[in-house]
Amino acid sequence: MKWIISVHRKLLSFYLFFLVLIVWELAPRMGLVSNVFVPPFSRIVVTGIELGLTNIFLYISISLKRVFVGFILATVLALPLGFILAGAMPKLAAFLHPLTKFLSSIPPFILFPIFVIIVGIGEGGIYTVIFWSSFWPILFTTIAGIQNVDPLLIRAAKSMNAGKLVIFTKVILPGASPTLITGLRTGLTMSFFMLIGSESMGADSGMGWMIHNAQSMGFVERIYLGAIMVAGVGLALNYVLEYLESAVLQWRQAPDSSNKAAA
Amino acid sequence: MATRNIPVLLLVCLRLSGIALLCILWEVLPRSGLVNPTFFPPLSAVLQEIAALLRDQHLLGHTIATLWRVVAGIVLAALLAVPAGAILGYWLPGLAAGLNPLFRILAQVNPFSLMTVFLLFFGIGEKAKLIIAAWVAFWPLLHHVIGGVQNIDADLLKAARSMGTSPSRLFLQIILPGAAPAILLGVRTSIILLLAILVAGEMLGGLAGLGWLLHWSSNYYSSPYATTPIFAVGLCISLIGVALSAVLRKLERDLFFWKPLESAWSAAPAPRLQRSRPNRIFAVTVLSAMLLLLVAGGASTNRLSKTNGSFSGEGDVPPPSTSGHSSHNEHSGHNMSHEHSLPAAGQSGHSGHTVPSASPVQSGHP
Repeated sequence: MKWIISVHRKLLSFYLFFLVLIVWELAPRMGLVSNVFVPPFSRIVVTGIELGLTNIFLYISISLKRVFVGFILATVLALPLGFILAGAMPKLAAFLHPLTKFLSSIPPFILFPIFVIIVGIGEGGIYTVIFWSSFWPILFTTIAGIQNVDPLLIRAAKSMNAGKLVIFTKVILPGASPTLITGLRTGLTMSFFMLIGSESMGADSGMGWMIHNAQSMGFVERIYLGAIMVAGVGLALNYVLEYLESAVLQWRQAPDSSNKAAA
Repeated sequence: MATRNIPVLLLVCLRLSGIALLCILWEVLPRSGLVNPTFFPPLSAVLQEIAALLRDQHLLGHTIATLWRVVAGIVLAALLAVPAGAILGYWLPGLAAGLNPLFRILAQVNPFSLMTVFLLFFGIGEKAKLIIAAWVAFWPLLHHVIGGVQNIDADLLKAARSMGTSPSRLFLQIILPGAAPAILLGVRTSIILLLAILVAGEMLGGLAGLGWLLHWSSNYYSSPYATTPIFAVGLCISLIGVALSAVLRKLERDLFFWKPLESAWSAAPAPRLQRSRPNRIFAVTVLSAMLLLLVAGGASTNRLSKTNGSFSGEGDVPPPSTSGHSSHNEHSGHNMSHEHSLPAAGQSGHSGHTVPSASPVQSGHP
């Protein structure tokens, strides 16, 4: 009996989820909605099995590779740039502020045609979109995070005759790390969001391409399968990042709830 | 914040000089040949192209179409998300916690992946696009509203309840004002995302809007520099993004003058200016502009997508055979000379499509 209750507790938040799946399965079968537009859930699973697990994993891994290449590139550039701008040259940061704001509001997709014209068709356009959509959130949050480190801590370290490098690694970096990680998470979420669009614009593999292909071929089941895959991978990424966050920042007390549920 | 030490006037100059420097660089680098002007046209050429697009390609109409979709989508999303968020956050917090996994999955459902499904349900009109826009804006907004409602000072709620306030008054007078800053923050967060997604959506399938114009302009080659139209439309889109977020930021400052400012991404606290009195004029102006846009924008968008819905490229092929015109076509020599004198597509280097109603080809011949 106790065992059942503990399982029930764990699943409590997923009951509604199961309910949605059941309704999805039953509604088309009972004729409440057209089963051409909304195929029952089981048929989507069957389509997934027909497509083959290897194919699905191939698509997912190709898409993930694109996200990570763009995202890591953005991180590698944005983090040091943010450190330098916020820490060493606040005047330059103020100087560049309107410019960065303008650049950050360029939607990443409009870079796609420009990139295609300059470099040609290929992976580069997708990487650019991903890079662009994750670069700015990371840069902004990095600057904000560094600037919001408690100045008292920095002064304390200075009064103890700590060098600049020591202050940076021992005080500023840990102090700003919660914000940094939030920025990374926002960046990754954004870039994953943009990935599907850019893959359906110009790619010959990956999840976005699969959905786009299914759309033009009229495979309704595959569209749903793709949507489920995208949502699932996005959710998994989110959970992994959340886990990393709590693992890295275990010293932080009482994480605010509003941040945690960020989708 | 380290920038506090710099005098305000100097700071303003510094900031403006950043933009000025960019403009100068943009103009000088391609002209001097350091950057290939074919791929990166100088600023003046881009501005000229914007003027040309305004003249020939209904740039203003496309801008209004995009803005209309953004505003309508966000209004729709807010109308759904605010009551839903208030109910979930205040009256049914258990359900909110229970629904959280489902919400997270739904928020991850990419609008692009379901575009066709939306099209199947709602048809290929404005409705599908609005639903997509509302879908994109809804989830971040809902999340912010729930957070905002749950962070309202509990004492206020208790006080109101102890005085026997009815639920509707509680919602209107306590929950809504209390959560308003969070709601506006949510609007600002989602509007950035919404604009990006909307432009992409218009690029993939649409008949009006800046995304459509961008997609169209990337398909033709303008005469001196190849990429001018793309840069021109891109500049317009970015400026809209900057303007939208500036307007929302100003609204935030005016309406919630009592709140310390925080922003979606750059969480740097803004310098405290003298905001002692609430200034409602700007808010009212924005609201009325929004309403005007909602009413007038819909009509103009519909008209524009109807004109663009006709065969694209109509402008540069010989005019469609109207009854009076077909007889004209037989005298080919005469017709050729006539075509040359037309001030239509060819002259400005646009080999693309000009909107039929605007082209003198049809209207010139009765």
